[in-house]
Formats: sequence, C-alpha cells, structure tokens
Amino acid sequence: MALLTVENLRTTFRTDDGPVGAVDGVSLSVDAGKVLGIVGESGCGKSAMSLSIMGLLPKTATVEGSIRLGERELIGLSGSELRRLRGDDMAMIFQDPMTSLNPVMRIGEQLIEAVRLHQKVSKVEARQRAVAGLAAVGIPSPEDRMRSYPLELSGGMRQRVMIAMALLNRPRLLIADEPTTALDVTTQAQILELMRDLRSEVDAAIVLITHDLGVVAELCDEVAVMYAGRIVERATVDELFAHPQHPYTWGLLASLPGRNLASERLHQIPGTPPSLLRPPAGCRFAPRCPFAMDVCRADPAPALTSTGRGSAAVACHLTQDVRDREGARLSGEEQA
Amino acid sequence: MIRFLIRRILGGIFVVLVVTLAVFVLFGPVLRWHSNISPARLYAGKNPSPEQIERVSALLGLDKPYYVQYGYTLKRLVLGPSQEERDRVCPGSTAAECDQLLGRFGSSFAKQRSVDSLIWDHFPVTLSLTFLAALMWLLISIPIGIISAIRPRSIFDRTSIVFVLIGQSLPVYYFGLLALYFFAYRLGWFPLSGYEPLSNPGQWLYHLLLPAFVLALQFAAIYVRITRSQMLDTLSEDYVRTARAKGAGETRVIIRHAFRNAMLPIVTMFGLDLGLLLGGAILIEVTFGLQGLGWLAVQAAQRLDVPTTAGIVLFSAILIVVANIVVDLVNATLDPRIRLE
Amino acid sequence: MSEPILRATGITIGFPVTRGIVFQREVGRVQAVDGVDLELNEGETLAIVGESGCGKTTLARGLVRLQGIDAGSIEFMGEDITRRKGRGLTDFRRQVTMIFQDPIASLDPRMRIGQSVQEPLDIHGIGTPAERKRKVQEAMERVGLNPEHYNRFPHEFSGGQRQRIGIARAVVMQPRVIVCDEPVSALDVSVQAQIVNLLEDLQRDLGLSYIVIAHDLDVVRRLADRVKVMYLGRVVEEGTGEEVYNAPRHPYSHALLSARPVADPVRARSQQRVVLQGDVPSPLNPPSGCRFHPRCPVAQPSCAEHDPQLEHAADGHGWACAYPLQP
Repeated sequence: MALLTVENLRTTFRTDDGPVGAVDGVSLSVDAGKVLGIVGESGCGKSAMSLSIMGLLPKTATVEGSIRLGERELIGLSGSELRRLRGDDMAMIFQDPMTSLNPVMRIGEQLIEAVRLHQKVSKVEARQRAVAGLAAVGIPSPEDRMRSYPLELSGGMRQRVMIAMALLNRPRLLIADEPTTALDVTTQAQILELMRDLRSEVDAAIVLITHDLGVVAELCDEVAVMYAGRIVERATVDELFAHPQHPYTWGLLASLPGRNLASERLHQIPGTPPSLLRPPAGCRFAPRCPFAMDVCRADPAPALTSTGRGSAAVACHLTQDVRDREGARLSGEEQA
Repeated sequence: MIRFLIRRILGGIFVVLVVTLAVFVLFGPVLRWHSNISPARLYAGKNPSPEQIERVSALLGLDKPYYVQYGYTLKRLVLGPSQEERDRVCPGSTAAECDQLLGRFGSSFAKQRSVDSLIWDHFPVTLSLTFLAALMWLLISIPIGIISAIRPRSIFDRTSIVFVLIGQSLPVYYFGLLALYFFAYRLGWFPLSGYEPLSNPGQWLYHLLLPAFVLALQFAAIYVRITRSQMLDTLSEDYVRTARAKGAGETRVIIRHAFRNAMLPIVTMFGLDLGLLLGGAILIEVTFGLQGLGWLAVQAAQRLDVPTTAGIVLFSAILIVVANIVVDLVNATLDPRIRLE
Repeated sequence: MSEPILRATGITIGFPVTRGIVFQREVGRVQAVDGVDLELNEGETLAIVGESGCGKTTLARGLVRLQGIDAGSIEFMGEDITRRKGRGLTDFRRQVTMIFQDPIASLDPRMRIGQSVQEPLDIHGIGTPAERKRKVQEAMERVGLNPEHYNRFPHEFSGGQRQRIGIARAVVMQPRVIVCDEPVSALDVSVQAQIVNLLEDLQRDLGLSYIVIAHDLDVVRRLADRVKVMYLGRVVEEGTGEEVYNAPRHPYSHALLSARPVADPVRARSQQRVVLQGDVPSPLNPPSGCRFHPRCPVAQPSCAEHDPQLEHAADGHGWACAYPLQP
C-alpha cells in the first residue's frame, strides 16, 4: 500500500512574465519503508514538487492534481489542517544545514518546539524526547548540545540536528531535499550512513531529492528522473543503472566523470534546460537530444509507458528496440 | 563577554576624550581666532574695559596656556571643580552655593549658573518627550512594518508606503505647526505650548502628547521601512521555512522565528536614535515651546553662551557614546553570533 | 627533465590569533598552510584535494600572491617572485590567472560581459583598444561563447555560460598557468561535463598548465595528472592520479576516496567503506603527532607522538604516514 500517492501534480508560479509550470503533470508513489529518489538538475521542478507536497509554497503558486498521504487527500486542505500534518505526519530536511536552523535560538529550544507543536507533553518530557532524538542521530553528549547555538556546531552536526528534528514526531513521510549537497565528502558519507541506518528503523516513506546519481545509487530503492517539470523515466535503482531508457538519463550517466574514466572526452549534454515560461512544443528534451526525430520536435513526449521490465517506465518517442540498444551500449561502454 | 564589555567601555571613554578635545578647541581657540569672541569678554558684561577683561580672564583661568586650560577642563569634567577653582570663581561661598555657579561642565555667564544645573533642569523635558515619542513610534511602526512584509504589494502595504513617504518628506516644524493649529488652536484638544513635570502625570501627558506624536510620526516612517525590509529578508530565510515545515503556525513563525532575527538591526537603530534625541530634539522643542535640552541649546547659542553650548554638545556626545555601548550589549545578549565571536 | 614552470617551497600561511583588550596583540598564528612544497610542470594539471578548512584555497591564493605568505618561496619560470612588487608582480599576474567557483559572484552585474572579459587587458594596458576588442572576441569564441554577445549582461546567461565568461577572462591574458578554484562545483552535472571538456581543450590548444583546487574527487581524477591530498594545512599524500586513486597509501586519502558515493547501486552495496568519525579538528589547536591520528582508523599509540614527514618512493609517490596502507 503506497503511503504517498501523487497524481498528475501541476504546480504553477505566477510571475510578472507569465505563468511558469514548475511541475507539469507528475505522478508517483512511495511505499512505507522505501526510498524514492527524484533526480534532476536545478530548475527541473524537483524542489517545487517537494514543497507542493509539504504545502510550503508561497501564495504565488497554485497546486493542482492529487497528493494523498495514506488515505488522506492533501490538496484542498486548509492551512491549519496542513500545519497539523507538517512536522508530525510528514517532515522535511533541507539542503543547507548552515542556514536551516534559527541562528538565535538554542538547539534545545528548536527541538522542544518541534515536539510541543504536535504533542501535548510537558516541557520536561519534550526535553527528554529531544535529547533522545539527538542521541539517536549520533550526536555526542546530547545534553550539552541542547544548550548550543547552531553556529557552535559543524555542518555535519547541524544536519544531524535537522534530521533529529524531522524524526522527533515519527513522521510517516520524510522528504530530504539535497541533504548532503552542502557537506564535505567525508561528512556526506557519515550522513548517508546515518540515513541508511535510520531508514530501517523509522519505517517511513522517504523521498530523496538530489542531483547526484551517486547518492541515488547509495540510498534509493526507486528512482524518478525529472526534466523540465516532468518525470521522463522511472525505475527501480538497479534497473535504472542497468537499463537506462531515456536519452536524458543516458546523458546524465555518461557525463559522470567517475563512471567514464576510459573515455577520451567526457560526454556532454549540449545546451541548457529550457525555460519553463515557454517550454518547447514537442518533447521538452528534444532540443538537446542527439536521437531527436521529427516527431520528437512536433509532438509532446508520450506518457510514461512500461518498458516491460518490472515497474520501469519511460516517456520517450524512441522505440523500445532503440532504447534497449543504446542503453546497453552505454552500460557496455562503461564496463570496458 | 566581559572582555567585550571592557573593550567597548574603554573605546567609549576614548571617543569621549576626543570629543572633549574637539569641543575645547572649537569653543576656545577656534572661536577666538575666527570671530574674536573670548569668554572673558562676554563674561565681563557690556562694554568692559581691558582691565576688566584681564581680571575675568585670570578669574576663569583663561590667561593660562591652552594645554593647561584643557587639562583643567578635563579634570573638572571627571572630578568636579577643584577647591582652588571654587575659591577663584566664587570666593567666600559654601560648596553648595558654589555648585550653583560652577559645575563639571563649567559656568554659564549668560545665566550666572552652572551649566550642570541648567542641563539637569532641562533634561527631564527632553527625556520625557523622547521616551513618549519612542514608545509611540515603536507601537505604530513595528506592527505596520510586519504586516506590510507579510503581505507585500497589498493595499495595506501600498498605503503604508504612502504614509512613509509623507512622514519622511514633511518637515517636522511644518507638520508640527499644522498639528498645533488644528489640534491645539482650532480644536483645543491640547495646550499650545509648555511642559508639566511628571509629578503630575495627567498634565505631563496632556502637554507632551501632541509634540511626542509629531516627533513619533517622523521616526515611525523610517521604522516602518526598516521593519518591512528586515522582515522581508528574514521571511525568505531557510530557517523560517524550517519553522513552517515543523508545523509552526504563521503567528509563531512571524514573531518567534522571523521577528526575533529581524529586530536585531532595528534595536541597533533604535538605540542610536534614542541617544541622538536625548541630546535635544531642537525643532520639536522650539515649535512646541518645550524647554528641553534642544531649546536650551538654541537659547545658549543665540546669547553666545559658549560654556552652555559646549556643555550641551559634550553631554549629547556622552549620551550617544553610552547609547552605542548599550546597543552593543543588547545586541550581544540577543544574538549569539556576536556574543560567541 | 625540464625546469617546472611554477615551483613553491615550504609555503606557510598563517592567520593571526589576537588577544588583548585595548591593543590587539598577536599571540599566535593558525597555520592554514604549513610547509607545502609544490612543482607544476609545463602543460600539466596538478590537483589539490581535501575537505573544507584543509587550506587548499588559502594555498592557491598564496601561489598567485593574492594572499601574503609567512614563509617559503615561489619561483615562476625559474625566477623568484615571492617578494616581487609593482611592475614585476603585474607581469607575474599576467601569466598566472585564476578561475573562481562562483561565476555569478565573480562578475560585476552592471558590466557588459565583453567589458568584464576585457578588464584584465585594460588593467595591464595591453594593446590598442581595437586589438583588445579583437582579443576579447577571440577569447569568447575559444570558450564557446558567441562573440556577438559582447554587449550582454551576466544575468542573461546560464550558470555554465557564466563560468565560460570567467574562463574567457582568465585566458584573454594568454597566461601560462591558470589556477582553478572549484571550477565546476557550482554547476549542474551535465554542464559540469561541458566545462571539464572545455578546460581540457584549452589546455591542449594553448599549452596551459593548471592547478585545480576541488573537493569533487571524480572531477579531479578526470582532470589531474598529479594529485596532492591536504589535511589540516599539510600535504599528506602526493602522486600521479593513478597512484593516489588506485593505490592510496595514506589512510586519510583512502577514507576520502572511499567516502565518494558511487553511481552504481551494485558496487555501492558491496563496497567496503571507511566512514571517518567526527569532524576535522580546529587548526587553532591541531592534534599532537600526526594531525590525522584522532580520526585515523588504523592509528597506533605512537601516532600521537611522532609527526610523520612526507616521504617519497622511487617513483615519486609520497605519503606522510608511519603506518601506510599496503597497495
């Protein structure tokens, strides 16, 4: 049973230049205890989507479609109903731990607040839970850290505090938006290890937003690749890396310096992502796609269609044969 | 923290020293060289003979070299007038009698009184006016600034911007006169001028309400603007988003998370404005006939009462220095980033 | 073997630690860079890797004389430029330029990009106005910008294009050496590849030598001929990319390399990973003995006492560790 079900989500921002469709018809679902990775470059709509789920977008945005947490439809909920869910049933971790904690409040005050916003417990009880929460994410001497201000902690420690805060009320859905991007590589490894340990304990559905295919491979069960507001490919993590199906995914994989040591030149995707103010008429990736055909430039990409391998699905005009052949060639090249 | 405090205080003392030197040079040698005004001549009454001037010079110690005079001035400022000086200026009087004539800031020759007693007579007026105005402008501007920031470009926000523009561009004496004409003269709600001490709170408030309001409006305009822009900045901070993601309600997010951060620069500005105003709100005081420090300064300047003018300048400078130190202390208490550095 | 184009010996850069109530006395220095030697050969790419706070950026700034150095010397093409001033320093800066991490912050938003690229030529007074403009257009073309965009402003460009502008600024001087400080870390993956390729092309076509400062070890692997790994201001391992990546000898290099997330789910699951505990200690109060010993997974008791020096094998691969890993 899927814990989070998103159907045909459309998030549009009103701007002075006209409406910008940051998320344009996205559907996905995540089960409890599973990690879904959302991969894409900046501006692909992955953050707008996570903020839509949390109900954290500014008033200039309209959200349409359906977002269900368990049985409950979130779209159309009042502000206060959403507020009661936020930080309780669904929680979020952000990219930059340096700026995500309030600089003038002690760590303890911020954690206790998170507990008492949702649980009718005494300050003492909330404090005990906060200390336990800090201990659970591997913060040494948590009692002392309760009295610290954020600036007294390192980046890795702050991100642990953010994770502890998100997990305090045992959320059913956890959204992590680039949780390790701002961290050094050894700290990133610590946080990834922590998240791997926690995922089995907390039994929440986790949505991991990232641009880093390495982080996806480390932590996710399933992956959705987003490009220009749409999901272009969805698969289990093994399937995605073994049989990538969409030319954009191929481009991403081929341009990773760590995976392509042997190649003379690093593969590059030409050009830049399109403006969402005026997206291309056909498939949104067509202008950058080396395989683009006339139909790609004329007709919008088809809906996500099963590739015949498990749950994998792709939104592309290319035929299954071409996609299998090119995908295999890419994987084969890397083995060489 | 203690080290920080000591450093700020020592720094403050240094600034006051520099100010005393500047005041001494300006009101002593520079005034004499530029306008041929000497305190002795003024002190000696109308059309004094050269002998009289010389006598007064000796009496006031003005015949000594400048550096000795400056040493005296400093010593007097810190320790009070010396016995030797008392004997010179007011021979045969008791210490209490002499204090009426000669204080730390010297002696006013226009009024034949010590500058200290003049300042302490007039300071409560300025203090009352400033306090009341400050209370009013904070109460007006902070809520307006916050609401404008929450709903930028709304009708409320646009109206408040118009209010800000009017408040900032209307000269306070003009606006003060208008207010006097309508509310005091035509409607008779307020007195036309004057001040009543705080011992009679009703009368005190009755006399101060209108001038404080006029003063407050002008400052409120500036404070609306800074509150709005600070809140706009803070509301887009990541930690405000974190607070919302925790499920905090809007009021809580705005007051406990955003405003707590946004108020840091406002506190700084407020402290400095208070320090400045306590030195005398000249235009308001003159317009409303409030005999505060600003009014006293104008009087003294018109009568070429050099020691009084210099004393007020020095007194205001000390107030500003003290305000600066207090602001730093308050900021350090509010903001761990300052405290822990 | 020919003379290296840039050689630095014993570079030490400290920041003052002050104390005092009225007058700040210097009571010590934090050694951000502590006795680093470095040789850059013609046409070569030398990478300096390490976590934030390891001193790599300070070192880079020291090498181009943007940062004063406390001790050590810098030789450029055989000449000591450590204490050069005025004209001599200007000449050096013509030949050794820099590319920065944040292409947005390093461009003046009110300056047309042509002017931005031309600015170094103006400062150094190179050529006539017409020649300068031609050089700028050549440089823009070389980095893949349309020279017709000469009159546009930085905000009209995407992140990758802005980094190209930054690169054009660096190459317009026809330098011998470019110091690249995190050249791609602010960019998206697909754009990163474009910039990495561009840097490689420029090196090949113009015979440039690079010093690359980066925390992304995969990008470094791609670009670098030789690699230095820094920890708390010191070089703990150096060697060719091959040596350091495939057979690291210092436990820190090994941990750093094994911390990289691997874009391959099968390998990610099977990989034995060393996850370092704790944070990098404060350089104000570095650990005794080997600076890495409190976090080192293979530390011995003696590591707390003896400070290992960088020692080199016959092939030039060097490490500063008393108990190096076996390859």
